Amino acid sequence: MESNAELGRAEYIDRYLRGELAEADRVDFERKLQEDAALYEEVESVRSVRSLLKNYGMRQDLQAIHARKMAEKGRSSSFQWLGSMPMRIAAGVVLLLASVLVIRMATLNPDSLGTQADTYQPEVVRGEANTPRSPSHMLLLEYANGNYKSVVSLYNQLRNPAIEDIFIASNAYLALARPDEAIKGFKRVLSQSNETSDRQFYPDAQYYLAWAYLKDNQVGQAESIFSQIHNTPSHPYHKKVGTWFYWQVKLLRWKQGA
Amino acid sequence: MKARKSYSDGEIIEAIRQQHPIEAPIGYLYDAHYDNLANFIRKNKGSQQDAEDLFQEVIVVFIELIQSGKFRGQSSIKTFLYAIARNLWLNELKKKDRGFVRDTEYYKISSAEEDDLQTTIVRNESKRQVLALLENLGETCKKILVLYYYEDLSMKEIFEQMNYESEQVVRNKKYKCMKQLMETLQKSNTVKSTLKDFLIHGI
Repeated sequence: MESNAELGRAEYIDRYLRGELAEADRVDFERKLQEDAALYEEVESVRSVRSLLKNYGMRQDLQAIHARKMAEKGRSSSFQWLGSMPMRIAAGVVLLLASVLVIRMATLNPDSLGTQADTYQPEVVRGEANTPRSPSHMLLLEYANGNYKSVVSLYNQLRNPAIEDIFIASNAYLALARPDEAIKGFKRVLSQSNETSDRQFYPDAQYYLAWAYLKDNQVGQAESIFSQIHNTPSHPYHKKVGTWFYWQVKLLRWKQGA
Repeated sequence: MKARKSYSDGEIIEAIRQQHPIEAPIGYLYDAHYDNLANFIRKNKGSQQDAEDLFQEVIVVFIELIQSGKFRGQSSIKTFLYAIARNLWLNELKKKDRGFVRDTEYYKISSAEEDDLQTTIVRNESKRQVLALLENLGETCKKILVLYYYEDLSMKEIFEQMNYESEQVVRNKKYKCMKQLMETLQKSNTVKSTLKDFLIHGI
Protein backbone atom coordinates (compact mmCIF):
# COMPACT_ATOMS: atom_id res chain seq x y z
CA MET A 1 0.00 0.00 0.00
CA GLU A 2 1.17 3.50 -0.75
CA SER A 3 1.47 5.89 2.12
CA ASN A 4 -0.41 9.15 2.17
CA ALA A 5 2.96 10.89 2.25
CA GLU A 6 4.00 9.28 -1.06
CA LEU A 7 0.69 10.14 -2.64
CA GLY A 8 0.85 13.68 -1.32
CA ARG A 9 4.39 14.12 -2.58
CA ALA A 10 3.44 12.87 -6.07
CA GLU A 11 0.45 15.21 -6.19
CA TYR A 12 2.59 18.11 -5.06
CA ILE A 13 5.03 17.45 -7.91
CA ASP A 14 2.11 17.30 -10.35
CA ARG A 15 0.76 20.58 -9.07
CA TYR A 16 4.18 22.14 -9.46
CA LEU A 17 4.53 20.90 -13.06
CA ARG A 18 0.99 22.05 -13.90
CA GLY A 19 1.81 25.50 -12.55
CA GLU A 20 -0.86 25.22 -9.85
CA LEU A 21 1.26 26.12 -6.82
CA ALA A 22 0.97 29.52 -5.20
CA GLU A 23 3.93 31.76 -5.95
CA ALA A 24 5.48 31.41 -2.48
CA ASP A 25 5.09 27.61 -2.56
CA ARG A 26 6.61 27.46 -6.03
CA VAL A 27 9.65 29.47 -4.98
CA ASP A 28 10.06 27.32 -1.88
CA PHE A 29 9.76 24.11 -3.93
CA GLU A 30 12.32 25.27 -6.49
CA ARG A 31 14.73 26.06 -3.66
CA LYS A 32 14.28 22.49 -2.39
CA LEU A 33 14.90 21.19 -5.90
CA GLN A 34 18.28 22.89 -5.94
CA GLU A 35 19.21 21.37 -2.60
CA ASP A 36 17.79 17.87 -2.98
CA ALA A 37 19.24 15.90 -5.90
CA ALA A 38 16.87 12.96 -5.37
CA LEU A 39 13.83 15.22 -5.46
CA TYR A 40 15.19 16.94 -8.58
CA GLU A 41 15.63 13.57 -10.27
CA GLU A 42 12.09 12.55 -9.31
CA VAL A 43 10.60 15.75 -10.72
CA GLU A 44 12.54 15.33 -13.95
CA SER A 45 11.27 11.76 -14.28
CA VAL A 46 7.67 12.87 -13.83
CA ARG A 47 8.27 15.70 -16.27
CA SER A 48 9.56 13.21 -18.88
CA VAL A 49 6.67 10.82 -18.40
CA ARG A 50 4.26 13.74 -18.59
CA SER A 51 5.80 14.67 -21.93
CA LEU A 52 5.53 11.06 -23.07
CA LEU A 53 1.84 11.00 -22.16
CA LYS A 54 1.24 14.26 -23.97
CA ASN A 55 2.83 12.71 -27.04
CA TYR A 56 0.67 9.61 -26.63
CA GLY A 57 -2.48 11.70 -26.23
CA MET A 58 -1.62 13.74 -29.28
CA ARG A 59 -1.13 10.59 -31.32
CA GLN A 60 -4.47 9.25 -30.14
CA ASP A 61 -6.09 12.46 -31.29
CA LEU A 62 -4.34 12.18 -34.63
CA GLN A 63 -5.52 8.59 -35.01
CA ALA A 64 -9.09 9.68 -34.40
CA ILE A 65 -8.77 12.49 -36.93
CA HIS A 66 -7.15 10.09 -39.38
CA ALA A 67 -9.93 7.52 -39.00
CA ARG A 68 -12.57 10.20 -39.47
CA LYS A 69 -10.88 11.68 -42.52
CA MET A 70 -10.37 8.30 -44.13
CA ALA A 71 -14.02 7.51 -43.52
CA GLU A 72 -15.01 10.80 -45.13
CA LYS A 73 -12.81 10.21 -48.13
CA GLY A 74 -14.08 6.71 -48.59
CA ARG A 75 -12.24 3.54 -49.13
CA SER A 76 -13.27 3.49 -52.77
CA SER A 77 -10.03 5.39 -53.31
CA SER A 78 -8.34 2.07 -52.57
CA PHE A 79 -8.90 1.27 -56.17
CA GLN A 80 -7.57 4.43 -57.74
CA TRP A 81 -4.45 2.63 -58.91
CA LEU A 82 -6.57 0.68 -61.32
CA GLY A 83 -7.32 3.87 -63.19
CA SER A 84 -3.68 4.44 -64.02
CA MET A 85 -2.99 0.99 -65.47
CA PRO A 86 -2.85 0.62 -69.25
CA MET A 87 -4.67 -2.68 -68.98
CA ARG A 88 -7.69 -1.13 -67.34
CA ILE A 89 -9.94 -1.44 -70.39
CA ALA A 90 -8.97 -5.03 -70.99
CA ALA A 91 -9.62 -5.85 -67.38
CA GLY A 92 -13.29 -5.27 -68.04
CA VAL A 93 -16.15 -4.19 -65.91
CA VAL A 94 -17.09 -7.66 -64.80
CA LEU A 95 -13.61 -8.52 -63.62
CA LEU A 96 -13.36 -5.23 -61.77
CA LEU A 97 -16.65 -5.76 -60.00
CA ALA A 98 -15.66 -9.28 -59.11
CA SER A 99 -12.34 -8.03 -57.69
CA VAL A 100 -14.08 -5.32 -55.72
CA LEU A 101 -16.48 -7.84 -54.27
CA VAL A 102 -13.75 -10.28 -53.30
CA ILE A 103 -11.56 -7.57 -51.75
CA ARG A 104 -14.55 -5.99 -50.09
CA MET A 105 -15.45 -9.25 -48.43
CA ALA A 106 -11.89 -9.81 -47.29
CA THR A 107 -11.38 -6.31 -45.91
CA LEU A 108 -14.84 -5.79 -44.50
CA ASN A 109 -14.78 -4.41 -40.97
CA PRO A 110 -16.58 -1.60 -39.09
CA ASP A 111 -13.91 0.91 -40.13
CA SER A 112 -14.02 -0.04 -43.77
CA LEU A 113 -17.75 0.70 -43.75
CA GLY A 114 -16.81 4.21 -42.66
CA THR A 115 -17.43 5.59 -46.13
CA GLN A 116 -21.06 5.94 -45.13
CA ALA A 117 -20.35 7.54 -41.77
CA ASP A 118 -20.77 11.10 -42.84
CA THR A 119 -20.21 13.24 -39.80
CA TYR A 120 -23.38 14.92 -38.61
CA GLN A 121 -23.58 18.40 -40.13
CA PRO A 122 -25.54 20.83 -37.97
CA GLU A 123 -27.44 23.76 -39.38
CA VAL A 124 -25.59 26.96 -38.51
CA VAL A 125 -27.29 30.20 -39.45
CA ARG A 126 -24.96 32.20 -41.65
CA GLY A 127 -23.94 35.59 -40.29
CA GLU A 128 -24.62 34.50 -36.74
CA ALA A 129 -22.16 31.66 -36.85
CA ASN A 130 -19.34 33.47 -35.11
CA THR A 131 -21.28 34.99 -32.25
CA PRO A 132 -21.98 32.47 -29.49
CA ARG A 133 -25.23 33.37 -27.70
CA SER A 134 -25.32 30.67 -25.05
CA PRO A 135 -23.30 27.65 -23.87
CA SER A 136 -25.43 25.46 -26.14
CA HIS A 137 -24.79 27.70 -29.11
CA MET A 138 -21.08 27.74 -28.34
CA LEU A 139 -21.16 23.94 -28.23
CA LEU A 140 -22.81 23.90 -31.66
CA LEU A 141 -20.27 26.33 -33.12
CA GLU A 142 -17.33 24.36 -31.77
CA TYR A 143 -18.84 21.26 -33.30
CA ALA A 144 -19.41 23.00 -36.63
CA ASN A 145 -15.75 24.04 -36.61
CA GLY A 146 -14.62 20.49 -35.98
CA ASN A 147 -13.31 21.20 -32.48
CA TYR A 148 -14.72 18.01 -31.03
CA LYS A 149 -12.65 17.96 -27.87
CA SER A 150 -13.85 21.43 -27.01
CA VAL A 151 -17.41 20.19 -27.54
CA VAL A 152 -16.88 17.39 -25.03
CA SER A 153 -15.28 19.75 -22.56
CA LEU A 154 -18.12 22.29 -22.85
CA TYR A 155 -20.70 19.53 -22.63
CA ASN A 156 -19.24 18.20 -19.40
CA GLN A 157 -19.64 21.66 -17.89
CA LEU A 158 -23.38 21.83 -18.67
CA ARG A 159 -25.50 21.12 -15.60
CA ASN A 160 -28.73 20.34 -17.44
CA PRO A 161 -27.89 19.66 -21.08
CA ALA A 162 -30.78 19.87 -23.53
CA ILE A 163 -31.50 17.03 -25.94
CA GLU A 164 -29.67 18.91 -28.70
CA ASP A 165 -26.56 19.35 -26.49
CA ILE A 166 -26.50 15.63 -25.72
CA PHE A 167 -26.93 14.82 -29.39
CA ILE A 168 -24.12 17.15 -30.51
CA ALA A 169 -21.78 15.91 -27.76
CA SER A 170 -22.52 12.30 -28.72
CA ASN A 171 -21.55 13.06 -32.31
CA ALA A 172 -18.36 14.68 -31.02
CA TYR A 173 -17.57 11.49 -29.07
CA LEU A 174 -18.20 9.50 -32.25
CA ALA A 175 -15.85 11.76 -34.21
CA LEU A 176 -13.25 11.34 -31.47
CA ALA A 177 -13.41 7.56 -31.86
CA ARG A 178 -15.03 7.11 -28.44
CA PRO A 179 -18.06 5.09 -29.50
CA ASP A 180 -18.81 3.86 -25.96
CA GLU A 181 -19.52 7.43 -24.79
CA ALA A 182 -21.37 8.16 -28.05
CA ILE A 183 -23.65 5.14 -27.45
CA LYS A 184 -24.51 6.36 -23.94
CA GLY A 185 -25.34 9.81 -25.29
CA PHE A 186 -27.44 8.71 -28.26
CA LYS A 187 -29.40 6.32 -26.04
CA ARG A 188 -30.05 9.20 -23.68
CA VAL A 189 -31.34 11.30 -26.59
CA LEU A 190 -33.71 8.50 -27.63
CA SER A 191 -34.90 7.96 -24.08
CA GLN A 192 -35.51 11.68 -23.43
CA SER A 193 -37.23 12.03 -26.79
CA ASN A 194 -39.61 9.25 -25.76
CA GLU A 195 -40.28 10.87 -22.39
CA THR A 196 -41.00 14.28 -23.88
CA SER A 197 -42.76 15.26 -27.06
CA ASP A 198 -39.50 16.57 -28.53
CA ARG A 199 -38.78 14.15 -31.38
CA GLN A 200 -36.57 16.53 -33.34
CA PHE A 201 -33.38 14.50 -32.93
CA TYR A 202 -34.93 11.04 -32.67
CA PRO A 203 -34.24 9.80 -36.22
CA ASP A 204 -30.78 11.38 -36.26
CA ALA A 205 -29.93 9.76 -32.92
CA GLN A 206 -31.16 6.39 -34.22
CA TYR A 207 -28.93 6.58 -37.29
CA TYR A 208 -25.82 7.72 -35.45
CA LEU A 209 -26.43 5.28 -32.58
CA ALA A 210 -26.28 2.52 -35.17
CA TRP A 211 -22.95 3.92 -36.35
CA ALA A 212 -21.65 4.13 -32.80
CA TYR A 213 -22.58 0.48 -32.26
CA LEU A 214 -20.81 -0.41 -35.47
CA LYS A 215 -17.67 1.48 -34.46
CA ASP A 216 -17.86 -0.25 -31.05
CA ASN A 217 -17.94 -3.61 -32.82
CA GLN A 218 -21.49 -4.31 -31.62
CA VAL A 219 -22.52 -5.26 -35.13
CA GLY A 220 -25.69 -7.08 -34.08
CA GLN A 221 -27.07 -3.98 -32.34
CA ALA A 222 -26.08 -1.84 -35.31
CA GLU A 223 -27.74 -4.17 -37.79
CA SER A 224 -30.98 -4.12 -35.84
CA ILE A 225 -31.27 -0.32 -36.10
CA PHE A 226 -30.04 -0.16 -39.69
CA SER A 227 -32.67 -2.78 -40.51
CA GLN A 228 -35.44 -0.56 -39.11
CA ILE A 229 -34.19 2.42 -41.12
CA HIS A 230 -33.71 0.37 -44.28
CA ASN A 231 -37.23 -1.00 -44.04
CA THR A 232 -38.87 2.36 -43.32
CA PRO A 233 -38.98 4.45 -46.53
CA SER A 234 -40.29 7.48 -44.60
CA HIS A 235 -37.28 7.50 -42.28
CA PRO A 236 -35.11 10.59 -43.01
CA TYR A 237 -32.01 8.39 -43.20
CA HIS A 238 -33.63 5.68 -45.33
CA LYS A 239 -31.63 6.62 -48.42
CA LYS A 240 -28.37 6.49 -46.50
CA VAL A 241 -29.04 2.89 -45.56
CA GLY A 242 -29.27 1.56 -49.09
CA THR A 243 -29.39 -2.09 -50.07
CA TRP A 244 -25.64 -2.35 -50.78
CA PHE A 245 -24.74 -0.79 -47.48
CA TYR A 246 -27.28 -2.86 -45.53
CA TRP A 247 -26.02 -6.00 -47.24
CA GLN A 248 -22.47 -5.16 -46.12
CA VAL A 249 -23.62 -4.73 -42.51
CA LYS A 250 -25.36 -8.10 -42.65
CA LEU A 251 -22.26 -9.64 -44.19
CA LEU A 252 -20.12 -8.10 -41.47
CA ARG A 253 -22.37 -9.57 -38.81
CA TRP A 254 -22.16 -12.94 -40.45
CA LYS A 255 -18.37 -12.62 -40.78
CA GLN A 256 -17.98 -11.76 -37.10
CA GLY A 257 -20.49 -14.33 -36.00
CA ALA A 258 -22.39 -11.59 -34.14
CA MET B 1 -25.01 23.90 -43.73
CA LYS B 2 -21.69 24.87 -42.29
CA ALA B 3 -18.71 25.71 -44.43
CA ARG B 4 -15.38 24.19 -43.44
CA LYS B 5 -12.83 26.81 -42.56
CA SER B 6 -9.69 27.04 -44.64
CA TYR B 7 -6.40 27.90 -42.96
CA SER B 8 -3.32 29.85 -44.01
CA ASP B 9 0.09 28.28 -43.32
CA GLY B 10 0.57 30.76 -40.46
CA GLU B 11 -2.74 29.85 -38.82
CA ILE B 12 -1.97 26.13 -38.97
CA ILE B 13 1.48 26.61 -37.47
CA GLU B 14 0.11 28.80 -34.69
CA ALA B 15 -2.70 26.36 -33.87
CA ILE B 16 -0.21 23.49 -33.61
CA ARG B 17 2.16 25.57 -31.49
CA GLN B 18 -0.68 26.40 -29.11
CA GLN B 19 -1.55 22.66 -29.04
CA HIS B 20 -5.26 23.29 -28.71
CA PRO B 21 -7.52 22.68 -30.50
CA ILE B 22 -5.86 20.84 -33.37
CA GLU B 23 -8.74 18.84 -34.84
CA ALA B 24 -9.83 21.46 -37.31
CA PRO B 25 -6.42 22.55 -38.66
CA ILE B 26 -5.17 18.97 -38.93
CA GLY B 27 -8.42 18.03 -40.63
CA TYR B 28 -7.75 20.83 -43.07
CA LEU B 29 -4.28 19.39 -43.82
CA TYR B 30 -5.97 16.12 -44.72
CA ASP B 31 -8.43 17.90 -46.99
CA ALA B 32 -5.74 19.99 -48.67
CA HIS B 33 -2.84 17.57 -49.01
CA TYR B 34 -3.79 13.94 -48.46
CA ASP B 35 -4.85 13.13 -52.02
CA ASN B 36 -1.68 14.49 -53.64
CA LEU B 37 0.63 12.84 -51.13
CA ALA B 38 -1.22 9.53 -51.37
CA ASN B 39 -0.83 9.74 -55.13
CA PHE B 40 2.90 10.37 -54.69
CA ILE B 41 3.24 7.23 -52.55
CA ARG B 42 1.19 5.12 -54.93
CA LYS B 43 3.37 6.24 -57.84
CA ASN B 44 6.42 5.15 -55.87
CA LYS B 45 5.62 1.51 -55.25
CA GLY B 46 3.30 2.16 -52.33
CA SER B 47 -0.15 0.75 -51.73
CA GLN B 48 -3.21 2.67 -50.61
CA GLN B 49 -2.63 1.36 -47.09
CA ASP B 50 1.00 2.55 -47.24
CA ALA B 51 -0.26 6.00 -48.23
CA GLU B 52 -2.72 6.13 -45.35
CA ASP B 53 -0.18 4.98 -42.77
CA LEU B 54 2.50 7.26 -44.10
CA PHE B 55 0.33 10.36 -44.14
CA GLN B 56 -0.48 9.81 -40.47
CA GLU B 57 3.23 9.65 -39.70
CA VAL B 58 3.90 12.71 -41.88
CA ILE B 59 1.52 14.68 -39.68
CA VAL B 60 3.20 13.43 -36.48
CA VAL B 61 6.64 14.46 -37.75
CA PHE B 62 5.28 17.80 -38.95
CA ILE B 63 3.82 18.54 -35.51
CA GLU B 64 7.06 17.52 -33.81
CA LEU B 65 9.04 19.85 -36.04
CA ILE B 66 6.72 22.76 -35.33
CA GLN B 67 6.54 22.17 -31.59
CA SER B 68 10.30 21.81 -31.28
CA GLY B 69 10.75 25.07 -33.20
CA LYS B 70 12.50 23.30 -36.10
CA PHE B 71 10.06 24.38 -38.79
CA ARG B 72 11.51 27.67 -39.87
CA GLY B 73 8.81 28.61 -42.34
CA GLN B 74 11.33 28.89 -45.17
CA SER B 75 9.22 26.52 -47.22
CA SER B 76 5.46 26.32 -47.56
CA ILE B 77 3.61 23.66 -45.58
CA LYS B 78 2.82 21.87 -48.82
CA THR B 79 6.50 21.67 -49.77
CA PHE B 80 7.44 20.62 -46.29
CA LEU B 81 4.85 17.85 -46.10
CA TYR B 82 6.18 16.49 -49.39
CA ALA B 83 9.71 16.58 -48.03
CA ILE B 84 8.64 14.68 -44.91
CA ALA B 85 6.70 12.15 -46.98
CA ARG B 86 9.62 11.65 -49.33
CA ASN B 87 12.08 11.06 -46.49
CA LEU B 88 9.78 8.74 -44.58
CA TRP B 89 8.95 6.78 -47.69
CA LEU B 90 12.61 6.51 -48.70
CA ASN B 91 13.39 5.05 -45.27
CA GLU B 92 10.51 2.64 -45.67
CA LEU B 93 11.70 1.54 -49.11
CA LYS B 94 15.20 1.03 -47.79
CA LYS B 95 13.82 -1.23 -45.08
CA LYS B 96 12.00 -3.18 -47.76
CA ASP B 97 15.10 -3.12 -49.97
CA ARG B 98 13.17 -1.54 -52.82
CA GLY B 99 14.09 1.13 -55.31
CA PHE B 100 14.28 4.86 -55.34
CA VAL B 101 11.73 7.64 -55.07
CA ARG B 102 10.93 9.68 -58.16
CA ASP B 103 11.95 13.27 -57.72
CA THR B 104 9.55 16.14 -58.02
CA GLU B 105 10.08 19.86 -57.67
CA TYR B 106 7.79 20.02 -54.66
CA TYR B 107 10.12 19.02 -51.88
CA LYS B 108 13.16 21.19 -52.34
CA ILE B 109 13.80 22.44 -48.83
CA SER B 110 16.90 24.00 -47.34
CA SER B 111 19.72 21.76 -46.18
CA ALA B 112 19.23 22.93 -42.57
CA GLU B 113 15.56 21.94 -42.75
CA GLU B 114 16.55 18.65 -44.37
CA ASP B 115 18.96 17.92 -41.49
CA ASP B 116 16.34 18.72 -38.85
CA LEU B 117 13.88 16.58 -40.71
CA GLN B 118 16.17 13.56 -40.81
CA THR B 119 17.02 13.94 -37.11
CA THR B 120 13.36 14.19 -36.18
CA ILE B 121 12.47 11.13 -38.23
CA VAL B 122 15.16 9.04 -36.54
CA ARG B 123 14.14 10.33 -33.10
CA ASN B 124 10.52 9.63 -33.92
CA GLU B 125 11.32 5.99 -34.53
CA SER B 126 12.79 5.67 -31.01
CA LYS B 127 9.78 7.44 -29.53
CA ARG B 128 7.43 5.01 -31.17
CA GLN B 129 9.23 2.16 -29.47
CA VAL B 130 8.85 3.80 -26.06
CA LEU B 131 5.22 4.68 -26.73
CA ALA B 132 4.58 1.02 -27.48
CA LEU B 133 5.39 0.30 -23.81
CA LEU B 134 2.29 2.26 -22.84
CA GLU B 135 0.23 -0.50 -24.35
CA ASN B 136 1.23 -2.65 -21.36
CA LEU B 137 -0.89 -0.43 -19.14
CA GLY B 138 -4.58 -1.23 -18.84
CA GLU B 139 -7.12 0.84 -20.77
CA THR B 140 -8.37 2.53 -17.60
CA CYS B 141 -4.86 3.56 -16.61
CA LYS B 142 -4.13 4.96 -20.04
CA LYS B 143 -7.39 6.87 -20.04
CA ILE B 144 -6.85 8.42 -16.60
CA LEU B 145 -3.25 9.39 -17.33
CA VAL B 146 -4.08 10.89 -20.73
CA LEU B 147 -7.01 12.83 -19.30
CA TYR B 148 -4.81 14.20 -16.53
CA TYR B 149 -1.50 14.82 -18.30
CA TYR B 150 -2.59 15.47 -21.88
CA GLU B 151 -6.07 16.89 -21.55
CA ASP B 152 -5.04 18.71 -18.37
CA LEU B 153 -8.32 17.79 -16.68
CA SER B 154 -8.57 18.10 -12.91
CA MET B 155 -9.22 15.08 -10.68
CA LYS B 156 -12.76 16.34 -10.17
CA GLU B 157 -13.38 16.47 -13.93
CA ILE B 158 -11.95 12.97 -14.40
CA PHE B 159 -14.07 11.69 -11.53
CA GLU B 160 -17.18 13.15 -13.19
CA GLN B 161 -16.28 11.85 -16.62
CA MET B 162 -15.37 8.31 -15.60
CA ASN B 163 -18.11 7.69 -13.04
CA TYR B 164 -15.84 6.69 -10.15
CA GLU B 165 -17.21 6.46 -6.58
CA SER B 166 -15.23 9.44 -5.40
CA GLU B 167 -12.52 11.87 -6.38
CA GLN B 168 -10.16 10.16 -3.92
CA VAL B 169 -10.58 6.85 -5.72
CA VAL B 170 -9.44 8.55 -8.94
CA ARG B 171 -6.46 10.08 -7.13
CA ASN B 172 -5.36 6.68 -5.81
CA LYS B 173 -5.91 5.02 -9.17
CA LYS B 174 -3.94 7.70 -11.02
CA TYR B 175 -1.09 7.42 -8.53
CA LYS B 176 -0.89 3.64 -8.97
CA CYS B 177 -1.06 3.90 -12.76
CA MET B 178 1.71 6.48 -12.84
CA LYS B 179 3.87 4.39 -10.53
CA GLN B 180 3.36 1.31 -12.70
CA LEU B 181 4.25 3.27 -15.83
CA MET B 182 7.37 4.78 -14.32
CA GLU B 183 8.57 1.39 -13.10
CA THR B 184 8.12 -0.02 -16.61
CA LEU B 185 9.98 2.86 -18.19
CA GLN B 186 12.84 2.92 -15.68
CA LYS B 187 13.84 -0.66 -16.50
CA SER B 188 15.80 0.24 -19.62
CA ASN B 189 18.59 2.74 -20.16
CA THR B 190 17.61 3.16 -23.81
CA VAL B 191 14.13 4.11 -22.71
CA LYS B 192 15.52 6.59 -20.20
CA SER B 193 17.51 8.35 -22.87
CA THR B 194 14.54 8.47 -25.26
CA LEU B 195 12.42 9.83 -22.44
CA LYS B 196 14.81 12.72 -22.11
CA ASP B 197 14.27 13.30 -25.81
CA PHE B 198 10.55 13.69 -25.20
CA LEU B 199 11.38 16.27 -22.60
CA ILE B 200 13.78 18.23 -24.74
CA HIS B 201 11.93 18.07 -28.02
CA GLY B 202 8.31 17.69 -26.95
CA ILE B 203 5.98 15.76 -29.19
